[in-house]
Amino acid sequence: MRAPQCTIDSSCVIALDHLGFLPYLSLLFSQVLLPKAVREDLFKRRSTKNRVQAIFESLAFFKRCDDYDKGAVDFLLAEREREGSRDRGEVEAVVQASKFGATVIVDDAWGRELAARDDLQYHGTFWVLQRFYEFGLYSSADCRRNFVSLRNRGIRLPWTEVNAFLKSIKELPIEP
Amino acid sequence: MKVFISYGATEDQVTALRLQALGVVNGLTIYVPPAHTRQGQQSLLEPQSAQKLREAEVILGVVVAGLSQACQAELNLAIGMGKAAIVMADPKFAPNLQPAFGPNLVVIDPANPASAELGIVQHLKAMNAHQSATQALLALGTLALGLLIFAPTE
Repeated sequence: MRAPQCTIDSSCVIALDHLGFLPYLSLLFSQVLLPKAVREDLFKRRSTKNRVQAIFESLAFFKRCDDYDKGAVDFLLAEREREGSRDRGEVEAVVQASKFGATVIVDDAWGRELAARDDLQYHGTFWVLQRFYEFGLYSSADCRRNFVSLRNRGIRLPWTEVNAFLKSIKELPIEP
Repeated sequence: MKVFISYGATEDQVTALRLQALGVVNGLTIYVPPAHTRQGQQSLLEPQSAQKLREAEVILGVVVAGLSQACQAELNLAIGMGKAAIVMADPKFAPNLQPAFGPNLVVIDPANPASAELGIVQHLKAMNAHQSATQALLALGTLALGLLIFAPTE
């Protein structure tokens, strides 16, 4: 059986790192591949500038992943640029996942659409946090607190779905 | 209960992290040294690792992919301090570990996992440790055995 791997986009890294949950990804994946564009995106943000190196130094299952089809990325990025966005991170996450047969962890709607087009498994931060809750890593009250903390940090999540989930675990909804 | 998991090589860290998460679910506070301590030839313990080791009531060693000097130093210190400890190892590392860790060593034979489980239980029976420490070691040892035998690696 093949060890489960994922590629991950920067917004998901930021959210999970904010909660201190990056090590828990080991419950879901044996390897987490961090594409170059995602690393560069994290590096250029003041709040996460020093985190990239720290993640690699502390968590061995996070791997740099630079071996990808540059042509495919450029082609998809050209499509993206026509829509006015230049974010390369989610494109590399999808193209690299395609190469390795990995799951894509991405919140961005276009990134998810790309992953779906490539028949890849894809999930977002919300899904990851649901899985962690199901593993019993935190109580329902802490689960809500985590979502509140992400909202206060300015992380964009599917709040309607989050609130439906919170209701299902008997917690109050969150004002988006 | 505070637990310290010493892993042999960087490749073993993912098992240690999974045990850490599963330990959290069961109310254990588990420290896993950062990956950089297994890179290069570090033989001296990092101050933070030494501190966490002193604070831990239970030590679990996981030596499957390799045996770094840092891991060996951590396990030596744990045994030297008389901590409740089990070192779970791949058969290829048993000759290296046997002289230093003797009865604390449990060799994991994937073809015969029951012998490892028996080894854990026998070691815990002989160990003069608090019941909560032996319970934690039994739980973590069993989880580690399951993870090492069933977790896909390729």
